[in-house]
Amino acid sequence: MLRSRQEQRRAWWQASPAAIWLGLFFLAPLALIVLYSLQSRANDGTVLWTWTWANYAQLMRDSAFWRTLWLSIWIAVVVTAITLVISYPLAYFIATRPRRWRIVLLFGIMIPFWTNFLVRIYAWKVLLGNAGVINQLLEGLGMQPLNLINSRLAVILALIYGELPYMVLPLYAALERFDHTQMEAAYDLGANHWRAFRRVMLPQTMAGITAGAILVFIPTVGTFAVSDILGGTEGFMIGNLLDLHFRTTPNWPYGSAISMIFMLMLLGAIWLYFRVTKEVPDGENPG
Amino acid sequence: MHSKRWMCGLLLVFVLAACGTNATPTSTPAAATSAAPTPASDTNTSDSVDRSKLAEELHVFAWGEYIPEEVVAAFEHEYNVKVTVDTYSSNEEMAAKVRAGSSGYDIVQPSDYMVALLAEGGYLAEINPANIPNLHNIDPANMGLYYDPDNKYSVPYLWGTTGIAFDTTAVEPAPDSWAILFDPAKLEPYKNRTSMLNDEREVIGAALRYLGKDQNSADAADLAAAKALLTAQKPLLAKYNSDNVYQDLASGEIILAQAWSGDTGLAMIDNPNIGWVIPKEGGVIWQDNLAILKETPNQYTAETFINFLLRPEIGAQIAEFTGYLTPNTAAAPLVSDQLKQIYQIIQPDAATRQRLDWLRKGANATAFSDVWAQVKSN
Repeated sequence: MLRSRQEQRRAWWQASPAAIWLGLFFLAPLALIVLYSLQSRANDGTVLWTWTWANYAQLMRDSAFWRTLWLSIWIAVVVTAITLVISYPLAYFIATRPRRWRIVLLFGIMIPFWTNFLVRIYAWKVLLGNAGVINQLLEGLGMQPLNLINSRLAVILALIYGELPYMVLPLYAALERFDHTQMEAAYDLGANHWRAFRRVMLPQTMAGITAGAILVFIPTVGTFAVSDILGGTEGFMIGNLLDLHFRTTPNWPYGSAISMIFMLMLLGAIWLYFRVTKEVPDGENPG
Repeated sequence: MHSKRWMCGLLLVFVLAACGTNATPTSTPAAATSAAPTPASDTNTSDSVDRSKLAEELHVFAWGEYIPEEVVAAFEHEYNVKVTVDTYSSNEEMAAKVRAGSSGYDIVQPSDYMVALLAEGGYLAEINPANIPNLHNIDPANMGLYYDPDNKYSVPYLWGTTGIAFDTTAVEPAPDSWAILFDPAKLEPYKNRTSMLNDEREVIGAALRYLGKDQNSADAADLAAAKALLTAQKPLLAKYNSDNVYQDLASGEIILAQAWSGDTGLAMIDNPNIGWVIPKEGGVIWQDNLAILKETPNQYTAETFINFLLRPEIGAQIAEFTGYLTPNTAAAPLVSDQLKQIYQIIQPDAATRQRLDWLRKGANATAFSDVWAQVKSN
């Protein structure tokens, strides 16, 4: 608690750089998007200042938007779930090694990510191509080549690969803090592995899961480059729809309306997620 | 605790949302090439340029990989003017900066339709032809076009066409119609080895042509028919792609493609089996131009630079570097034998030119975007 008015004032003063930063680089652009979303498109592609709800009305009826939104959410949920399933055991393994090994293993996770993001996506193109590394291997083994590139599968694989560290690191942080002797205590009290995990370890690492899931879900649902490069005709996600309306058409007012609705839905989803993950572990009956 | 965690999450979302908007550079019709440029001649110093009127600096806003660095360096050396070249990857991106005002650029490179849009908006300066004597090098066929009938605002830089590229060993007989891309029975044998350009106007325009309509028609019934055609075509395609199409063709990853003439020419260098056709229903012609912004105080210097780019040997260097067709009739004889051979295939003759039309963008853009979003999300 802040005791005096003076201290309170000092606290505001100390927070001002953050406030200015947020105001300048977040709130002002956001306000601009809100403004744009209420205008219309001029014939030469610029913004025509006529206050209207037309963009939002059109959006509600735009089946392309809803299909694209659904695909993006579906891909993001799948990617987040698979990344979590891979990362949890991995983070557990790392967190339970001797200290100097942990550093080495964490470095091992992070080093590939010092390479440029686009270079790594193009590497997937080389791996999955019709005459790519995997298909050459299959042919070498006398098997039929697979059509891997230009598909949703390719997008999902590359996203899982790209987002993995963002899931592993928060999970590692949570699992490293976790007192592993508690598991032994649970076993001593008669819990089996699954029960001990579910009732002791999982609730205490929930913060890591939450952080990891959000860190993976948000960039995935809004991705644009991965789906553009690897998705072929099957990878038209919300990021690509925004790209179309902002860079190609261009129709900034309509693109802004899509951004607004998309952002509000994401906020709603995150809020719901916090409600649910908060209540599940706490809502359980002890004993 | 609950609200704190919620706030943290919210903050995270904002930060990530900001990260997520980083655009990556994509489609540009100007592809890079490995063709060896010929050195610029250093002899034309006895020209009529009044050097005392030249500015110290010139700022050019150009398509990526479109003006060879050697050309810029040669101009700097000869006239002692420092030239800064920034690049863009779409006309709309360039126009957005110009329209915002005080862009700081002297010269831009708008495509055909964008010359008209920028001129209408009053952003382009009227060019003084007296300062660009090399204009007589430009083919009259590339001048006086619909977007700038008197070439008041623009000087042709490079041009090209859109047609069908195919691997002659795999696609037989050689196609002569858009039917090979739009008739599912004819396209089926090339399933997943075919690409269309990632460009709403090019793709919908080709579909409209196949249907016997005007490629610029924004008529609702025409667009609905085009949409049906494209929706049926989509499952047979590998992808919509405009980036480095020449690589896909050269490597054999793609054997049939709607493509730009420049990409096709580049693919021919690596893969002699690549064929090219402007279908009987017709194709697209486009031209990129040099234009001077009204906001510039350096019009004379800008005109001197444009005149320099129009020199025969410089024009040849630009053509060699990009692989596109040069409107410079004095430059064409100076290009390498390899490029001459490619020009013979991709340069449309007078009869073919009759089948080419411009993509006229502007008022009707949203109608095409709506169809495109519908097709791509389906």
